Amino acid sequence: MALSPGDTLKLQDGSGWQSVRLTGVYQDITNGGRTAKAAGGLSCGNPIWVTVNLDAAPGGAPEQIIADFKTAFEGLRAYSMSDYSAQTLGPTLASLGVAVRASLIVSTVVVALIAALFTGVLLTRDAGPNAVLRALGAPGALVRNQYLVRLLALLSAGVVIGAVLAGTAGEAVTGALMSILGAPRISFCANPLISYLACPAALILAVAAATAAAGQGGAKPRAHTALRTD
Amino acid sequence: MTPLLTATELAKDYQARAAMPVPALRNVSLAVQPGDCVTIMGPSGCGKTTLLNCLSGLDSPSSGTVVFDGQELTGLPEKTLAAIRLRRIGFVFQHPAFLPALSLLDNIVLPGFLAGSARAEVVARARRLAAATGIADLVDRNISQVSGGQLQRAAICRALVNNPVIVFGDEPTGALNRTAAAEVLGLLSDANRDGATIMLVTHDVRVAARSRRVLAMADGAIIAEHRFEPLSDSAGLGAREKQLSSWLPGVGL
Repeated sequence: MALSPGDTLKLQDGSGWQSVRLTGVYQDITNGGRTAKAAGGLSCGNPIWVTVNLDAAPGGAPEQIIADFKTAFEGLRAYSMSDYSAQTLGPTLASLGVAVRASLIVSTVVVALIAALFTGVLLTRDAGPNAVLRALGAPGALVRNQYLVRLLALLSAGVVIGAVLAGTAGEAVTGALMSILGAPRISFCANPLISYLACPAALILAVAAATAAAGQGGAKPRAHTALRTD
Repeated sequence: MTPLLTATELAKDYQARAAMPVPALRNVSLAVQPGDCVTIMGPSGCGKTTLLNCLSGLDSPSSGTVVFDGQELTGLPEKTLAAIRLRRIGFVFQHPAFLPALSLLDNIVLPGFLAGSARAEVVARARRLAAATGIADLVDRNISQVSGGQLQRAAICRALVNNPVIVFGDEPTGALNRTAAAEVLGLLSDANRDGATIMLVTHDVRVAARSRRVLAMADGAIIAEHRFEPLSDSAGLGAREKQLSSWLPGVGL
């Protein structure tokens, strides 16, 4: 349904069909996509409930205000915004949390696997030069560390570029993708400690472990094999 | 005199998966004195390279012992063997086997850097060796910009840059033309004259003629040894080549 603010929409209530004018269209992931709001016109009789959002004055104590409202109005259910969010979006937020944690684990494992495979390919390609190094007496750690340094440099560049892209185009791209699910305007609420410290540290540890494990093979004393002449 | 290198009843089997072990060395014993120049000859596949690898700590024998400069190599951890190869042993391979990303000079100084020598000292030593081997003007080039003979000279510089007590050469002239091979052999002879012990594997009687002892190998075992009288002048080389050419068929090679 292609409607925009200012359009007229016909709705049926207890007294028949009524024309209402849209005042806004809002994303609402809990309502399958979007919620349209209209001003006046409908006769609702006695509503089941009415939701009223209030902003506390600067310096006000929300918990005290909630207690005051409950005392003043019998049957009123007053909640803080965090409780209200948990009640209305709780399952959605929990699902998102699980999805985020799962994606972190999966991406870390995938990065480690790619690092291990990449190291294996490099070791195969560099078998000759590595055999020279080993024959000359280079320690195995030197052979291993050259790959560790290369992959960690690559990872660091990737993390920096990824952070910059996420901070600039990330919201727009994610919004475009999430618009399919009815959430076109996505705002990232990044925790700097997690986004810029914990996640890169997890990736660095995963890549270092995978590269070191894959590099064990290349550091083994097989110099004679690659240098054999008869 | 205490031998620099002693091998006692060396045996080496190559074991392919689910196959019978293939014997590459069988009961090989030899002793090399300091300053000696020894050549190992034999047909392809007779175990020459395997013997060289076991003697130099590049490979470990299946049984038997190798004692180098008073230290038994068999059973040493790879880290210790690597340190011995780095500081006390030089290698010259048939194919020069340089690191393609480095210049000729960087390749020559690499063992010095790996051994922790001071940069200025090892670069000066490398330049001296390059001058002595006639490649002083080429050392800043990439390895793809020099000929095979020049690369092999650089390989000799690299083998000598840490002042090794012994230099192992596996077909060091195998990929060179006659002129370049003669130059490379001259350089190895010079190193031997300066005190380095040389041990070479070759099929070429011209290479073997420059050594003092020739060991003949067949089927993984040393089957005969020939010792030359001291070389008096360059004309003697031709006579040595003739000696070898008549000796080798007599021992079945």
